[in-house]
Amino acid sequence: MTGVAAGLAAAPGRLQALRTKDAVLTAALVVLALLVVASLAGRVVPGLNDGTTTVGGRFEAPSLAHPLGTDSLGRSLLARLLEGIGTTFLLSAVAVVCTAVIATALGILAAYLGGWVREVVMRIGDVLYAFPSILLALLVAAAFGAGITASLAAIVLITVPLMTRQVAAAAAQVARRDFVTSARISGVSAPVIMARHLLTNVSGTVVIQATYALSVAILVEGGLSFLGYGVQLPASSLGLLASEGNLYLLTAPWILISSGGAMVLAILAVTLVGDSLRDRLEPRQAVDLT
Amino acid sequence: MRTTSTAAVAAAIAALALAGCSGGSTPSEGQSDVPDGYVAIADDSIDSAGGSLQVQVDYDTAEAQGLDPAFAEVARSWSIMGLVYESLVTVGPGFEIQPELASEWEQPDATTYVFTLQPDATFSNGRAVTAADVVGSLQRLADSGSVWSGQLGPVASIEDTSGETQQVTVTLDSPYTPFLAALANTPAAILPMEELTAGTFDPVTDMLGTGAFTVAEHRQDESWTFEANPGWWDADALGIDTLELVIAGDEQTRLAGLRDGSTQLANFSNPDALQLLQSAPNVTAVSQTQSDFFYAMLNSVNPDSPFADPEVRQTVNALIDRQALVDVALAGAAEPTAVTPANLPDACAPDSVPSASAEVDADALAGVEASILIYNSDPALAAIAQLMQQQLEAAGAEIELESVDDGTFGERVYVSQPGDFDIALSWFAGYGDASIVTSWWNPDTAFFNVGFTQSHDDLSEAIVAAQQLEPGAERAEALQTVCDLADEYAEMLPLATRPQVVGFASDQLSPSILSDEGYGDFLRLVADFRTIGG
Repeated sequence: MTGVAAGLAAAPGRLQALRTKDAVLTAALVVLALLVVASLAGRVVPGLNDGTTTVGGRFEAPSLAHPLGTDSLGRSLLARLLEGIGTTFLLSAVAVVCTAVIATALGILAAYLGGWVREVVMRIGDVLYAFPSILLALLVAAAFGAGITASLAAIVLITVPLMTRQVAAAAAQVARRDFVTSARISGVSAPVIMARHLLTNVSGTVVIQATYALSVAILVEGGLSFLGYGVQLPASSLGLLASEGNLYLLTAPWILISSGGAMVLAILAVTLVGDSLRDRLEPRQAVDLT
Repeated sequence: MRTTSTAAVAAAIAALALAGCSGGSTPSEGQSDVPDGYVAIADDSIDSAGGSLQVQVDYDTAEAQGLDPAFAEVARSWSIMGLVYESLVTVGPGFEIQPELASEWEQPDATTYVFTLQPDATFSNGRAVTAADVVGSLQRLADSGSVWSGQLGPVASIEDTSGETQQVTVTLDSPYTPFLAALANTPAAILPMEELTAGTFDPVTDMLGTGAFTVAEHRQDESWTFEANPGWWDADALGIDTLELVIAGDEQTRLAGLRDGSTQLANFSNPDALQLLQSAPNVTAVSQTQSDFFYAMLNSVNPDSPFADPEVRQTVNALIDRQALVDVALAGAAEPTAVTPANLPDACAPDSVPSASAEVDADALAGVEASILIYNSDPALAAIAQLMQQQLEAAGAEIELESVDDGTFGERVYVSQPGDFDIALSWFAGYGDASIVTSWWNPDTAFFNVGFTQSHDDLSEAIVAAQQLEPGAERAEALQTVCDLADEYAEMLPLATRPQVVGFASDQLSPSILSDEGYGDFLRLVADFRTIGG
């Protein structure tokens, strides 16, 4: 069988795989959209937007009045959960935007300038990469004090090294291409080349890495808040709720189930979206399991 | 796709692992036939000679004057130092004053106390305790200017009146009813004055007492190791040889220690610990009735604080629903209190003070912006603060919560002049007499609160007057005056008694624990404990 014939024979299988991926992407996007909409509803819809007021007894089981039950202070767990999803998503998203800006700038600079600039950027990244993420987060929390600032800084420090490495690798490939060489010979300035040619061509990598960074960010926020160094009371976050749920697992399992479940869904959905984006934006680097 | 799919699954598993680390267990064993005044009683029939005991406690001593008991200010310092040092008297069931280093005492008149010392008492270096040690120790405390020196009352003289027995006579300028209850606390411990005066013993760095234990090792904020003192005057009653205190600041760590059997005893300030330990196998949890109580400090000294205005303070005082704090934040395991601990004789009823019947407008705090400062090592404080925030915001205030570490809290509340906060939450030990804690409402006596409270002559005089009266109706009336005045000035607002839960591994330990405690000393009867199986 010739190569063309083999390709034609395999086409229906690939088509089926693509459809499956589309279904996964669609499902992941729907889950993410639902979580975002729910968190927005938790900010504006009366009855759902008050996670700080005692509305019932302590540890009331789920009921019509309180669909997810109540917590240790008699607050609606549904309202707390929606607020928590919003806090976790917002914090993680802001951190990832910061990471994307820093990592993209460093990666492109390292790739284009090379030499000692590349060495310094990469070695600093290696040092940060060597720390276990939760240990690095705790060090940051110790330096900044517990709270949202510490969580933000920790997420950025943890996610920047990997994204920088990926962006630098992608930018280095682009920097060797003919059109970049032509631009250099034509006298186009380095900042313009980096902005117009390199940045444009590594944007796909940045988007993909940002989705992975987002899942890491959700996990780091959860870990820090779980340990008491992240989001502080009376605010709510998924990690904070998981911490309370862990303490009262036998008394009020609905706290842990709802917060842990939301965290799992969010991380899974974000990661699957990242997978699908990678398959589309960087098909040559994707490894097809089918 | 393999790499990222694996990452997704790993992340999801990690999230689940993060979310759930606890397991189930079977019902715990309870203890029966516990006499009145106790929530657990050691089984004397257990022969545990050579036994060792590990206890996990919430925090370590952290005093500016090191290990010197005369300057110890916090409850955990008192309980830890109380393992090595003894006072003339101690507290027994129902807050009854009982002999300790003094075998007996008599009070020939309202201002004179004569203490007879235990004949066999020695310091752990083998030297016998003398009346001179007692005179020197109490005089040193009275002259020290420490927080506790003010609690000794109007001491006129402390004299060695020994004859055939070692005897000390303390004379007061005027009657002072809480004198014995004040002597029962660790700061009034008897020190080896001969060695201290000679310079061979430094109480700041060393511990040399007459108590049941001696210190073998101390690693700050990590652990203490104590060994039995074979020369203790009641050594025959001692049930354990080695006592290790592990400092475990996180309550979940202590819960886990009890659940997995790695520690034999631990204390908890989260009232839910009683319920959380119910299903742990071989763990018994008991709740001590505390005279200790939570209170809110409203900063009346800092001009930047909204509570410099007495009307705002009174409004806040009237708005706080103490019963709701008890029911929700403290799981119903406490009771509202006024300045005098609600569970002590002659205490004021919390609903008898003016603020309890004051009527306040629905938007009485509109425009008031303030923060509530708490320290993060006590989960009950976070619960109280969140509920107070709800209550005050319902009246129009904008309230923020600030949770800081213990050191920062101490710096901002007690060291900064004026105090760097609007509202701060903490708790007082309630001690064994209703009038003793009232001294803290006089900043000239307490002096740790001059950064946020003012001195009021009428309140200070009322406190002294009440402390001069014998227990009974007349004193209750005088204490009511104290409660009313403190309530009107509204600078330190009593909230509710502080629950304390003690859990122990019933398959490894048979402890004695009093049902009432007011000095934060859940290890008070540790010498009676019996370990099971060595």
